[in-house]
Amino acid sequence: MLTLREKYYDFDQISSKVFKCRRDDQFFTMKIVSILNEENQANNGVPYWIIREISILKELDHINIVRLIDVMTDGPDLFLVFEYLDNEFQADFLKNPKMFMYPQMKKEFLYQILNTVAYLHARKILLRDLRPENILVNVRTQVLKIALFGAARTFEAPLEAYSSSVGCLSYRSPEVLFQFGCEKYSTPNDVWAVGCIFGEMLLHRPLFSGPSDVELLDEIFTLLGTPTEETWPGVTSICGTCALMGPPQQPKDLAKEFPMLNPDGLDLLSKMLCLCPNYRISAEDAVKHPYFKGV
Amino acid sequence: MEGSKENCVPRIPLIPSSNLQGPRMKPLLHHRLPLGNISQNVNMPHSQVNKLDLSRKCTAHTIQHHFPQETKKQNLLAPNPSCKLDCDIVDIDDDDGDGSDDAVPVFVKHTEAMLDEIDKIEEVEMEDVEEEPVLDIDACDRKDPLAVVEYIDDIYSFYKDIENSSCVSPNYMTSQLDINERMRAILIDWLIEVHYKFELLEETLFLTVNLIDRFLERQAVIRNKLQLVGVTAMLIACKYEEVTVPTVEDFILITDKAYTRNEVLDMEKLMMNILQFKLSMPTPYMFMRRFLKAAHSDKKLELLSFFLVELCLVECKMLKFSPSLLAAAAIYTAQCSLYQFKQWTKTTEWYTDYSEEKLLECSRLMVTFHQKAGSGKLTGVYRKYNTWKYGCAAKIEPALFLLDN
Repeated sequence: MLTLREKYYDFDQISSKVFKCRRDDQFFTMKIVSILNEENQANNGVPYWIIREISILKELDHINIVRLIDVMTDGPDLFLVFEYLDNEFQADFLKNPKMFMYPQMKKEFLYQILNTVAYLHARKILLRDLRPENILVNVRTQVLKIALFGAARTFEAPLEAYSSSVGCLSYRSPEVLFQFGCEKYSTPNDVWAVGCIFGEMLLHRPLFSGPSDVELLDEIFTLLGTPTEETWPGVTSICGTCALMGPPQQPKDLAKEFPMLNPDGLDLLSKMLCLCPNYRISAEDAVKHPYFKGV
Repeated sequence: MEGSKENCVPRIPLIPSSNLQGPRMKPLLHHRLPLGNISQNVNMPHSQVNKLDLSRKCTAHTIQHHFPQETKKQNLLAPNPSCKLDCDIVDIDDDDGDGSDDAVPVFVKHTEAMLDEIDKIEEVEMEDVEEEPVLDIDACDRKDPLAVVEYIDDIYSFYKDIENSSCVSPNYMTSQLDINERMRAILIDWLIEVHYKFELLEETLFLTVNLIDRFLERQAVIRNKLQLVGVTAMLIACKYEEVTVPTVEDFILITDKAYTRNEVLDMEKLMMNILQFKLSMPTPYMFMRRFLKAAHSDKKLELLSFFLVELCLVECKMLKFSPSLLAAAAIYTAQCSLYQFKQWTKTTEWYTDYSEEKLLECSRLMVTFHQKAGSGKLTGVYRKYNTWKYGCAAKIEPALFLLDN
């Protein structure tokens, strides 16, 4: 087996743990992951999230996913070799001022995100930590790439209960927020996160930003209304206590909150931000929504 | 069969599907019987009636079987005609006492509605008996996001596409110099006990065995390191599948401190390098979940199926069968064991993509393993499935009649 230095050369440091390197006149991005770090004091070997991330990335081949080319171990470090994305790819895509120049561009990027999520779900992968920081875009070519699958995992049907302390709080779905650690979550959680990103694209600020689970739920219900047994069958048994839901609130008119959206866009947004996961649109159906006509 | 819906044949509630018939069971109805003669023709052995679940209303959708196979499943779903029974079934238990083996008849007590119908259309002949329908097993889960119904066909066709890449050659052990099939069997039998002791998820065990085989196919190992390969494979599988992972220390203790922490961690790195971190591989477990749903399984069938498929994990010769075939054959064999006659419905055939014929070779091997599971030195699986937790599934009689033909 070839060593790292035999395989790759011309190392150029991008950040403390990320390098640009070459092999056969092709550029790659190399990410160094320390197996023994502060979070892994007990030294249980390769961290579970690295094992999951790499094995998931290994089987994926999609234009909108940063492709993992190679994995090598050397001493206490793992070297992940990814496809190289040039400087035109900007991380944290919503911070890119050019993002908001054309409405069509937002639609194009939203379509690419949903298309990727549908691809992942069809390959039994839950993303679980979809947020703007993990999305890179090339505004010139209008290509988007999703990176960092640290919180992704495969699922089997029927889904088991997984840890619910994953994902950035702002993009966490109400069913996960309700459960406090014992949620059997599924594909609708990823769709909720896409809905939040869609809202953020339009408003130029996070759609929900509560600092805690309870405050975040309150923000969600302020916009979308407090769920009832009609709108979310079984919600009272899920949340356990009505105190969590706060005083009943009526949903706001999304057309007034998002005046820049046409009726198709409003329909898609409302379906992605449907409180009840059972009724929330799937990524596969969202891609076929009339809002994307002409994309 | 408990929980079965396959008996919901429109208009003729008492016809069992052809593959419910035991070896000596006569066809119960001829095609195109006059409606008025039904009551005279519904004589069947009492024991056979008990095998049919006639109490359920059939609400599932059906897939009309005359459509070409390559048509996508979604396009084939059609609502099942109402399966309400037109008559009450009364078992006559008073035996005539002559000790004969004659079948006890099941009399059909006509309801008023049925008598009216008979009066009106006494001479009208029935249409041909419909072929057994294929049920849409996902119909009742469409609104449940946990069932991922909209992706389920994609997921399983993806599994089928890549399952061969997870398989190893059944005779890969010939390239190993210091270990053999017997040693592999001892290791896996022991790991099944470790898995039970640690109370791990079922899929963790199947992934563990898959990792061991794929690693040993590519890497020569000396015999005193084989147990190290086993516990390291289980550690990796736990990290991939479990929410709460046992520590390296737990695995060292379970080997009676035969290895050090560094040996385990070095082996982990070596295994990950050799396997190139490819852990998302289909195992029999993944197919079992789906196929058991297609078989409308109850807990008894599920436990017996898992008992049979775990017996296969120990046997090197079973590596020649793909994970999906092992899963399907385990369910088929379990059904044969439980009901003591061949049982493979159109629904299970449709969803597994295996005919009864394709399963027989694998199934017969499973019966032989079942037969000798409690004897010999490797009884880990037998002892596990002999507990109340696993429904004492190991005590169920094997389907020996499968070996006869």
